[in-house]
Amino acid sequence: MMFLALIRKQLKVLWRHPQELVILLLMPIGLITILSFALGSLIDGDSSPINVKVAIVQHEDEQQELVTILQESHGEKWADVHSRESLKQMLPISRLLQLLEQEEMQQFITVSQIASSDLDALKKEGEYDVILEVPAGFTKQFYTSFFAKGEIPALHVYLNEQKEIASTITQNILESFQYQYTLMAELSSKGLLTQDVKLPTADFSSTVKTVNQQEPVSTSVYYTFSMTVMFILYIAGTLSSQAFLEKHMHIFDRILLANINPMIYLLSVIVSTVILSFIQVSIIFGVVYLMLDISFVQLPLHLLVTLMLAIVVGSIAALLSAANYRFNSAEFSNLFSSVFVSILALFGGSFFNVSSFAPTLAKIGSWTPNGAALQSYLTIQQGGGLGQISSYLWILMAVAVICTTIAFLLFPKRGGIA
Amino acid sequence: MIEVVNLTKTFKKVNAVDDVSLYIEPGEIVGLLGPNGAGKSTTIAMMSTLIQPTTGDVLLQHKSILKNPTSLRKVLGVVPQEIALYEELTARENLEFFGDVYKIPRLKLQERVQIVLAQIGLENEPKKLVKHYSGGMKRRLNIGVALLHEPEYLIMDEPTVGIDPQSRKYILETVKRLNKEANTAIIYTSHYMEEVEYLCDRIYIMDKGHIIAAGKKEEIKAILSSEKTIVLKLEKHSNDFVDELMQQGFLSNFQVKDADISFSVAKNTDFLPMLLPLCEKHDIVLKSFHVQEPTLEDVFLHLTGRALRN
Repeated sequence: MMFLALIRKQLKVLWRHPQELVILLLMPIGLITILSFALGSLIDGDSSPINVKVAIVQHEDEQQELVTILQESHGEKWADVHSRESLKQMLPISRLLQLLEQEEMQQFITVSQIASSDLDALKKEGEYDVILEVPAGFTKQFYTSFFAKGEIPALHVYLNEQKEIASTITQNILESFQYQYTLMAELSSKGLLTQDVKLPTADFSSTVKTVNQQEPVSTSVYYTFSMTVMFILYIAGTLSSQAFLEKHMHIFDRILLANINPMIYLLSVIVSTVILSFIQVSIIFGVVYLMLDISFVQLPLHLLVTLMLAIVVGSIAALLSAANYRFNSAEFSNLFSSVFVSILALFGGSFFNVSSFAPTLAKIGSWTPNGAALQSYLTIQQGGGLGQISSYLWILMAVAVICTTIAFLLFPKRGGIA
Repeated sequence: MIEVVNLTKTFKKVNAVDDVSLYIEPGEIVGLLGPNGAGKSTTIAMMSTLIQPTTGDVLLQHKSILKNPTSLRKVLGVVPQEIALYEELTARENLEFFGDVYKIPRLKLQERVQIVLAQIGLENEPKKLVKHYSGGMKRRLNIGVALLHEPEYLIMDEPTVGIDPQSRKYILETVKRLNKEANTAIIYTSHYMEEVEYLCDRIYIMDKGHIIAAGKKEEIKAILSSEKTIVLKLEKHSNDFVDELMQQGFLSNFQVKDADISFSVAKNTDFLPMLLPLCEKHDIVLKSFHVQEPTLEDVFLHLTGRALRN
């Protein structure tokens, strides 16, 4: 009853501190929402902030041109019946359109085919980032140059100078395209181009997969966990500050005078912190489930990680309380909340995915309690099981044991005047 | 009976309390009087088992409790000088919490909470958050918490600091009533000599970590029994007049505050033949003068050469 009273009191006191509740509950939920929406499109790759609008204006019918060329080149070796299928595959503008209209490219590029009569108006409007003008006779010139060393064909490319990024992207694509054909021409000139040779097809993939072939996680999922493991740390700072206030106000003396062992009191700080941390995480997860439609695919494992993390936070609260009591100052809690949490969050990957650019930092981060918990949550979310998160759970357990041991050794055994 | 024997507490080579011995018997009110920094709070912190003395002992019924303070804590209530309450909880919630901490059974606790609320006069506002209470109400609740487990001994450390006269009077009456009705023995520390004088049967006077006087109220005042205190009210202050008065060898314990002057003089001394010509010489208009019995303030001044609240 006495122990429950200590915990009940702690919960009531915190519940009546609106400022603390804002930091512990509203801030993480707000940040998760903001970051998910602000960075989601950038990181998830579901849609791209870059959209290049390309207009293609053709002054000829490519298919018809090929038929004409084949008729005119009757008797030439390169135009014999066996090579016709390969020649059809080489149609330059069709190939270019094929490249630009690939599913992956569609995320960045929108291609429109415009009638040649509209070209002048098109140039004036500036609606398109790039206009590709295919002049009459381009296809014929292309095949002639390819097989009969004729004049090199030219596409007319109009770039919108105001849209530098779009122009650069298009230029790069065209250069790559041109390189393919130059390669083909070279093969042809050496007599190496036969009907068995097929044009290489561009194979792009933008889906990032982990080395274990796990499911990728979305930004909202990432920030749900990264913000949660960061903000849970503030509970340790808050509760250890409150514990010091009890010493400062001589409430702790009163508790001792009621014959309560100081170690029982410290244990109550740990248990209160664990309960509050668990409640905080449950509320955050509940809200994001409803608001952002994030599902927790392996709930028992999520709960296990949450419990382990909550125990670590409880042990940190105990350590901070012990240091505050020992040195008669709340500075340890203040320093933890104002500086240490940010450092842990940075290393642990709460602000961004550290592993993508600094593997060493990520390695260090995985040894932080928040980092280990974040990796556990993400692994579970990607379909990983208990075996895959066990190393992280061991880290959490080790931190909890170390902090709790030091806290119990450090905590004063008597009260008295400050 | 609780006794402290030759208690000494040293902080960084400074003796905050030096060889203090005192006792309290059931049912009595004992005052511990002294200025701020005299060592009163350290003494009662040791006496209430919160800090370990450097040397000396604390006895309950003649048995040392230093190694196992449980027996003393069961019969002792402590009202700290600070408001040791949760401001975010109501009065009732505070009482219930500390009652739970004292392991008072639920049913009995409800009953005790009602009784204590009535004792401290907060029975009409038990559901108000403490942070919304006045200073006096907080002080009363601070006392109430210490009464929950019905202690036989109560230590009150400056329980009236910083409150209005009305609340102060209420607290003093509550202390008297507690002692009379529940036969609670009370150690009352204060630097307000009039409070100690009003409440206490026996008094210890502390200064600079030492007990400098101890005994019943009358016994302590008897230290100055051979003297009387003269209080003069002048129309205006005069440095020359005060200087010449202080040079009179048979006057002592001077206290000067603006145009008010007090001093001690041997009971059989006729000082008027000296005073009146002196007033005339310095053109001083004497608005009033009276002779009073020595107070504890006078005793403290006599013993230390300093006023209590300096």
